[in-house]
Amino acid sequence: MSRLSLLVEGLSVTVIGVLIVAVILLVISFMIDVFRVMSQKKEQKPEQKLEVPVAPAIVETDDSELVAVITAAIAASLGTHTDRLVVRSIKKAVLRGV
Amino acid sequence: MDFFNLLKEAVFGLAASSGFALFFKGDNYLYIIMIGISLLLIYLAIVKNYEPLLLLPIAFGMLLANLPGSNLMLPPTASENGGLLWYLYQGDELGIFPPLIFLGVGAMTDFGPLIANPRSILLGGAAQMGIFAAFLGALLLGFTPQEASCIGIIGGADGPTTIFLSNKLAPHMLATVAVAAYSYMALVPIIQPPVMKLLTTKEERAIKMEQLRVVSKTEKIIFPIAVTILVVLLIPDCAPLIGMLMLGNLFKESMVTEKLARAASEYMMYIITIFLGVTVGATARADTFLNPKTLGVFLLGLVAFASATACGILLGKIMCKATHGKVNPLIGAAGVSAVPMAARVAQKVGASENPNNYLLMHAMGPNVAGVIGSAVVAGVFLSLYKI
Repeated sequence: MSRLSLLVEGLSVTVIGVLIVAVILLVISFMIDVFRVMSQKKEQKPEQKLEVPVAPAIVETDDSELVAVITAAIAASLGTHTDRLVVRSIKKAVLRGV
Repeated sequence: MDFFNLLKEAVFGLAASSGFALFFKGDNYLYIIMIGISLLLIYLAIVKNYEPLLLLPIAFGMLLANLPGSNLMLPPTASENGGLLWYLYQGDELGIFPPLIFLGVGAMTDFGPLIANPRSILLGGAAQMGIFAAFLGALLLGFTPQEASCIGIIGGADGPTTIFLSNKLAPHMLATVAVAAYSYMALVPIIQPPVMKLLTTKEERAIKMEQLRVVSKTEKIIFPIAVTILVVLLIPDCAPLIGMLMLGNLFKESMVTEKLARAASEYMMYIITIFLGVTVGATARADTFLNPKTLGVFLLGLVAFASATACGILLGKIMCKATHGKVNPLIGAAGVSAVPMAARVAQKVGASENPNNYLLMHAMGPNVAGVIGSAVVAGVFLSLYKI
């Protein structure tokens, strides 16, 4: 086989190979996204159930402690630090028919 | 007087059958050069600490096979058993050892950072482009497509994958390719930083990345199972490598097979490493190793590693722009799947720019993705070129 035709074949192999690898890796990465979405949905359901018993217990303590606890919880769930959050107002929500 | 004659004959007879005498037969002086090379590799392994776990057995196997008369690699004949290393070599020839090492690798790998940041799998893929760059270069230099694939896969920075592919496509190059692969894997901390600094700006290198989300146990268990089903159905030829890698990972993540995970990643892996290393080295014969092609392999191997690093970084830059500066391009270099060395190099270069930057976990994503990527590429080459 001449050098040129070998190179051309090599280039087509490269293109095919790159495409196949890219497709497979993309599919794997989308599959991982599906995990993430599914695990987020699972987290939301048990969290809503937890809010009902927890809220009444905290109301009895000091207000500033309460603010600190809520801010820390929000910061943790957002993956940032409390320094980066400014709390403007906290209102107790009324949960209807969860 | 007869006694002295007998003695003289015995001594000469012994001398004639000794290995030393065999050096003078025909081309056998080349063995001396091979022995010298094996001694150099032993030195590099022990004194310079170049991937000693593999390079030392390889070097010693090379030494043993090139001491004439030892016959350790001779296949059995009708009348005699084969040599010790020949029997152990069947683990290579039959494609058993490399997948078993991958079993151990999987049992030591944490896919968490990859699952937390799925786009990093693309960085692992980008780095595999270095494989194709070396593949094309090898074709240009006159290697056959089979040989070129094995030379290219050096850029995958994965010992078992390289050995596995080379055994199936170009067994005569096995020792050359393996020695090149492990040498360059040891040189990753030297090869990568210049390429990384050349292709990135100071600001890009100083980018601090967001903390990774927490990955649940369930995800970590589903991942190996799903990847196996998906990838093996798509590219059946990479089944031995991907299948064993994911099985090992499942041993680790399932929490119910801790003893199996430990056996796979500790005792079994190191036993197989010994057998694999020694027998791979023992295939390094003068005729296959001492020719200009070997120089070509080493040159192309360097091209493979450098271009793999470059391609990973380039995609990293693209992702950086696309996410408005959330991705530090340096982690792209970790797509060169020398685990965890390439990730550590990314961490070091990043920290030298910004001491508060802790890129290691982020770099592990592309690092382990590269292992999957190079196994997939090997599967592609196999499906195209297997005889």
